Amino acid sequence: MDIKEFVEILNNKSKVQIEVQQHSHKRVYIRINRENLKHIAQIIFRDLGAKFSISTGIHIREGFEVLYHFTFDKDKFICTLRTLAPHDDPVLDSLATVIPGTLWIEREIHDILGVQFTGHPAMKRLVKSEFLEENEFPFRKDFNIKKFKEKHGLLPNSQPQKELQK
Amino acid sequence: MRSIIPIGPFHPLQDEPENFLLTVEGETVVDIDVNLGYIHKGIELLAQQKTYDQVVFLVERICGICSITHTVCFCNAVEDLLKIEIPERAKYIRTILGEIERIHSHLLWMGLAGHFIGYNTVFMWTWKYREPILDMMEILTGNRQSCGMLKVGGVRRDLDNQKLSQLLKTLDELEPKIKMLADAVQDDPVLKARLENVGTLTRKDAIDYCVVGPTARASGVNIDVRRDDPYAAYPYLDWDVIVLNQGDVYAKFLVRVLETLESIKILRQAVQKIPAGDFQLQIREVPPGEGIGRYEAPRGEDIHYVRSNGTNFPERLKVRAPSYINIPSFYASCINQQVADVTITLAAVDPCYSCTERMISAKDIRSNHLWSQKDLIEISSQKTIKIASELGIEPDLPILKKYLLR
Repeated sequence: MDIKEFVEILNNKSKVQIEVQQHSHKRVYIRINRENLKHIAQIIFRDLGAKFSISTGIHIREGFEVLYHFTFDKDKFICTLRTLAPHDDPVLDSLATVIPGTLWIEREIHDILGVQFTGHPAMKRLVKSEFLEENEFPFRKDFNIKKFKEKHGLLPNSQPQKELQK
Repeated sequence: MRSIIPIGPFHPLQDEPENFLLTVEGETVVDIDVNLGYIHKGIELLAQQKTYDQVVFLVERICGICSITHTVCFCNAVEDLLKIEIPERAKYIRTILGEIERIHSHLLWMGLAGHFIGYNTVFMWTWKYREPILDMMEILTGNRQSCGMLKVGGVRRDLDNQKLSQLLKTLDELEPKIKMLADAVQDDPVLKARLENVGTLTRKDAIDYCVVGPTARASGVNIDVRRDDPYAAYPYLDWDVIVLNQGDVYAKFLVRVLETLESIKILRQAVQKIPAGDFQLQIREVPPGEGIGRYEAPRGEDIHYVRSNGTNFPERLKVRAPSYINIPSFYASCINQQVADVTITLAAVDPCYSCTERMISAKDIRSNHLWSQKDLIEISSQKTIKIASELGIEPDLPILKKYLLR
């Protein structure tokens, strides 16, 4: 199965609108609506036998883009599902019930970007420090590191510099 | 009666900070919880504030053992973004460095595994064999670890052909010792009794939890990035992927020993076939786009995702180290195990917490007694001695001694 055949099979099986962008003969990116995420992930993981590698969360202008990277080891290519959770409603379906491998990464994306995953069995902090409050997300573009450091007294040498200026 | 055994924030085996909460009924583990984040370094956020050339040095510092792994993986990702092919010589140099790293990482794990089941002979021996390999790394690159050899578009410095022949000599000395270790592991009844059917990860669980590397290959999942998504010089070389079906700690041990032998095979061919010529490309600018890089680290598949916005700084770098996806498989492999076996099961995936980025500690709720690392190793060692005395064998690698006397 090459990428062309894969896209055809996915189109036939899922029967939803997908937007394909082929990067090279080993990499393909597919944009999908968030309502179809669980359905398509199930087809790729269960029916087509792909391995879930990781997902990436990125804060972009339109909202929070979450990428799911699936690797097809026998067919030597990677398929990336691209989905968007808008700013005003950052919610996605959790894949943890379909793919146990997503248990941790969904907790991590929730920690750093504040995307909610409905249906996750154990949503709690994974990497976010107790320093940070529930509504502070370090990977959001509006997160102010300087303000955060000032608040917790983490800025080095802030006192001595002021004295020098005087 | 249920009690919770907290292990950590110091790992009972590998002296790295993380926290596992084992819920036990008597001696049997019924539930496990993992806490991480004690050594979260914020590498992904830092990478967004550095140029592509600087990020290469940053990712090299993600982990002390896999310094080549993360750098090659990052370079693969950026090269995928740029759609470029690097010069042949650079490909071979990357392969040689990567395989040296795999040998010393596997030897490190074997030693630690030996130590934790009370087989200190294995620990002493493997770590002794590991030294010449690390020295070889120093001769070739100038440093035993974190050698700063990689750059996007090739390698930073060339390797001296004369020094490569020195590598062949070191390998000739190492090979019989690894073969002896492989034989000893397969012959030794105590090791077999101690590791067989312990911490079994079934093939179904391995696929569901998406585990990678030796953990997956010991459970019968035939994956290896070196073959499935070839990078560097692997497509030009002849070697085998080691796959076993038992899924227990013994199979994981054996996979690593045999893989070390395969690495020696790869290294010999690479040194023979390495072509002369250019070893780097000049990269002027990185256009907007996305790239995914993969690399078969000693612990499994490493994957980096890079997004560029056309500036000198990456907009996003996502790093997924192999341990990150392997550790959640503890939910499947540790349940219904004995406490004495959990130490080695937790170590069997060769977890690297620097890569993954919190502790396992053992606490008896009734007596409020905290089990230390020493206690857990003691329990584990006692079990080995018990098995050995039941088999009527002296509990310290009799087979190895036999080889030693030859």
